[in-house]
Order: sequence, then C-alpha cells, then structure tokens
Amino acid sequence: MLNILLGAVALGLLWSMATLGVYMTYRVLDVADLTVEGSIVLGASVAAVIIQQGGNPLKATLAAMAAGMAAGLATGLLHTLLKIPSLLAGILSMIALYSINIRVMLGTSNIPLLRLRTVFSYLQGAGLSKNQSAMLTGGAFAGLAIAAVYWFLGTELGCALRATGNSPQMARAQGIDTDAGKLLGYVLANGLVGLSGGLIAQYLGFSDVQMGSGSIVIALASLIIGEVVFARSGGRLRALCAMVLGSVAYRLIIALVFEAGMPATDLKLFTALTVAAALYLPTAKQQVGQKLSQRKEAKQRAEHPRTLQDLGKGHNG
Amino acid sequence: MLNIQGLSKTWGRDTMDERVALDQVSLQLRKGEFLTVIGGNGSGKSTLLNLIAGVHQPDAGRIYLDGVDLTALPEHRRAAHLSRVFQDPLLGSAGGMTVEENLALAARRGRRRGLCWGITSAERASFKKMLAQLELGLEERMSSRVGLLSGGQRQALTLLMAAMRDPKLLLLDEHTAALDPKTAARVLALTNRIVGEYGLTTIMVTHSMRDAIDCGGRLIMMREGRIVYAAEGVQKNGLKAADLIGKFQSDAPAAC
Repeated sequence: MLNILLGAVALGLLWSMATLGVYMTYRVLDVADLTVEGSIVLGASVAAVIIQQGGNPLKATLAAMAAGMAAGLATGLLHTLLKIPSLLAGILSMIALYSINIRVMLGTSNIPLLRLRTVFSYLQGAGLSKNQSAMLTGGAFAGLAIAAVYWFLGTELGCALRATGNSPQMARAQGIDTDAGKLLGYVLANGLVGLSGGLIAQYLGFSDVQMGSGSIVIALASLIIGEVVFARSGGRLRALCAMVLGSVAYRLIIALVFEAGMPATDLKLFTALTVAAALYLPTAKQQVGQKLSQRKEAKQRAEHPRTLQDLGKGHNG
Repeated sequence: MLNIQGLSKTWGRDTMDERVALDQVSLQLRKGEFLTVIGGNGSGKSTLLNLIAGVHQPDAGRIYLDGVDLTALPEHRRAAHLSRVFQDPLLGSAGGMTVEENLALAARRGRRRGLCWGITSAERASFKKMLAQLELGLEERMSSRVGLLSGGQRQALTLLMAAMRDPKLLLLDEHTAALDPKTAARVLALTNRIVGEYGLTTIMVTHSMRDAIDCGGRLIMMREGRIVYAAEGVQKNGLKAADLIGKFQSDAPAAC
C-alpha cells in the first residue's frame, strides 16, 4: 500500500509539469489547448528513442521538452498565422502528432525502456528505490518548473502574455503583439508538457502512442483540484504550487479509488466526471450562497419587520 | 500633427449588405488640438477612430501622424504613437491583473518588452503619486485586481494609462457612454483635466451634443460617412445643442 502511494506521489510530480503547461494555456492565455494530448506523447517518444539509442537520459529529457515546444509552435502558427480557431488548431496538431509520434518511434507504436539507464538511475545508483528516486527527481523538476514559470510571468514579456490572455483588446492598445504573445504561450506551455511526457516515459519504462489519450482532462482535473483545494486565495506563486499539489492529489485519489476496487477501464469516466463536477463547483457555490442569503433575509424580515409589507409576509410565511 | 487624406471604408463590399461607413474623409489636426466628433449611429464616427487606431484597414486613403505614415502599421505598432480609451470600461484595462500591473503595461507602450521585471519599485512609487491625483482612492488599491473596480474607476484608470508615455494622439471612443450620468460627468471632467495637463492632441467621439460643445476647441459632425458640419473657436463656443439638432435635420436627405 505504501509503495502504491509513493508511486502515486511520484507520478503526480512527473505530471505536474504538464499541469503547469495547461495552466499557461487554460488560465494565462485563456484557451483550451488540445495539443497536450499529442505533445505529451511526443515528449515521451523523443526521450524513449534517444535513451533506447544509448543517449544520455538528461539530454533525452531536455530533447523531449524541445520537441514539445516545436509542437506548441505548430499549433500557435495554425492559430495566429492561419487564423484557425484555437480549439480546432489544437485538435489538428493532436491528430497530426499521432502520425508524427509513430514516425519518431521509428515506425512502431511502443518503445520499451526496460533495464535502460533513465534520469532516475542517478539517484537509484545512490541506493534509493525507484519510487524514492522518482519523487526526488520529479520534485526537483517540478520545483524548477514552478520557479521558471513564476519568474517568467513576472517579467515584462510575461506580463504582456497575461494581458494577451486577459484582455486582448487592451493588450493591443498598449502595444502588445497578441499573436506573438499567443505563439510564445503555446511554445512554452507545450515545452512543459513535452518535458512531463519525457519524464513519464522514463518512469513507466515505455513510450506508447496511446499514452496521451485523455491527458488534457487529467491535467485539467489536477489544475482544478489544485485551485479548489490549495489556492482559494493568495498570489501567483501559491497558484503555481497548487498545480503541483493538485497533480499529486489527483494521482493519490486515483490510487485510492483503484484500491477501493474500481476497474482500471473506468478511470477516464471517473476523471471526466471529476472535472465536470469541479467545473460546476463555482456555479454551485454561487447558487447555494444566493439561496442561503435569501433565506436569511426572509427570516430576518419575519423577525424584525421593517414595513407593513414585511409584517404581512411574516404572517403568511 | 494628424493628417488624414481621403479615408474610405465600405463594409460588406460587393454583398447585399454593402454599407459605406466612411466616404473620402480628410481631416487635419494641429498639435494640442481637442476635436469632438458627433454623429448618429452609423455615421462613421467610430469607424474613423478604429481606422486611425488600426483596428481595421481602410479601403483607400492615408493616415499620417507627426509625419509618420501609420496606414500600413498593425494595431499594436500604432500604440507607440497613439493611445485609446474605449466605450466599454471592461476593454481598456485587464480585469484579471492588478492596478499597478495595468499601469506598468501602459508605461511600456511602444517599447520592447524583455525579461526584466514587469514592474519596478521605482515605478510603484510614481504610480502611487499619479493615482493620488485622480482623487479616487486608487493609490490605496494598487494591488487590487482591476476587475474589482467600478466602471467609472476603470475608465479613470484607463485615461491615466492612455496619458502615459506622451502619446501624440489620444482617441476617446464614447468613453463616458456606458457610465451613469454622475460618473460620466466626473470622468469627463477628469478627461478635460488630463488632456489639459498633458497637452494631448485629442479626438473624442461622443453622441452627447452637450459634451461635444463643452469639450475641446473644435467640433465636427458626421453623417453617412462624411463630415457634414465643422465649427471651431468662437463659432463653436457659441453653439447650442438646438443649433446642432438643427444641423442634423436641415442637412438630412429626403426620406425614402
């Protein structure tokens, strides 16, 4: 059981870069970028191929990130240069990446990494278990990713990017090239997703062309859990940390649900329902809040009538 | 300062809905001049502003500002030369960003944005002073999200942002139309103050005859994409709303 939980924490940390990437597009740029489904596999495939060919695992991981950035560039160009709506641009990239990923994996749909040196081998060599090493390595990458994203969003360029997502008309009026902003956002976001994919492949011990299916929903679930549970208030740093915590929390929840006996094939349904419920949460809170305040007011009026009309209502009610 | 030559724009060209929005409009503005533009719906006054700002491209004509040909520049590149306040208070500022972040974005209008911090502590101090002069208490809310401000406060903030970086031209697009009368009057008074203090060359589009007469030194009336009446100086100062309504009607084409 403990090992299952450790594994869940490790996997959550490795996924957290993808969640940070989705935060960049979904929250900062205000677009739902489906490229993620393909760019996470692209990262995994690039890392797997390089490691399989005897490449350095760290270099393979960075190459995964660069590949993700290229995928983001493609979506960004489809959206800004060809003026294709963002949702459709992401879907096109996602579909194209399916073929590209098979090409990257030298025509196969799966590359196993059994007994090969991965980025986690460094700490395993120092006597740690695989999960312990994955937790530490993943935690280090997640920490670096948080620091990088936090720093970037605070720079002039990052502020311009936030304005682009928040109010494009204002951004242009203040001299910001919103197309360039979106392009940069797509590139950085998918770079993070590719990095995540590269690390996940090394942890799972394989890259598979199907492994990205549903990843946008998983990242969104992590993002929303993070926001709702860990970042109801506070600044940007806290919001970014919440992305990592949300990713870990999601994996822990999934691990516990599996332990409780849910069939693995129901995972995607469960995740979709979780996201739907979480997206409804703000609306639900508003509705309940309204009802409560109405009830409170009616009660107050009945107890302390201010006008004759209130008195009438009190008697009737 | 501003020189507009034969500017034309037709919407839906070669379709059933073809509509001439702007028809060969030429207009010159001297440095420091404050022009008010009045006209009904569809008169072309907002199109004129949007063409100057670069939101749309003209079908014909050229726009020069201080000798620079703006006609081919995209919207964000023109921001280096001119600034804008929109009718909708939500459009002129980023609601999800703080007051100081919005000001910092405006302070970099027309400059290259790099990897330096988006806002410096020296800037914070100067923003605080600028906000205090608005007398809206915004200097105490510098790290509040702009989305939490009222419409009037947002327009005041947008005005301040528009006045930064010494723009050669300020475009006001019915910027008090979405506010309640009392707030609109306050924002208009603030507009006059800021335009005066910074000596800004200004074009203000409005559909309030009162405001068009009271503000600025020059007035033009537009209808069906043309300038149909112009007044300045003593002639403008002597105008009454009734005179303008008369102009509206006397020049109106026969109903068909």
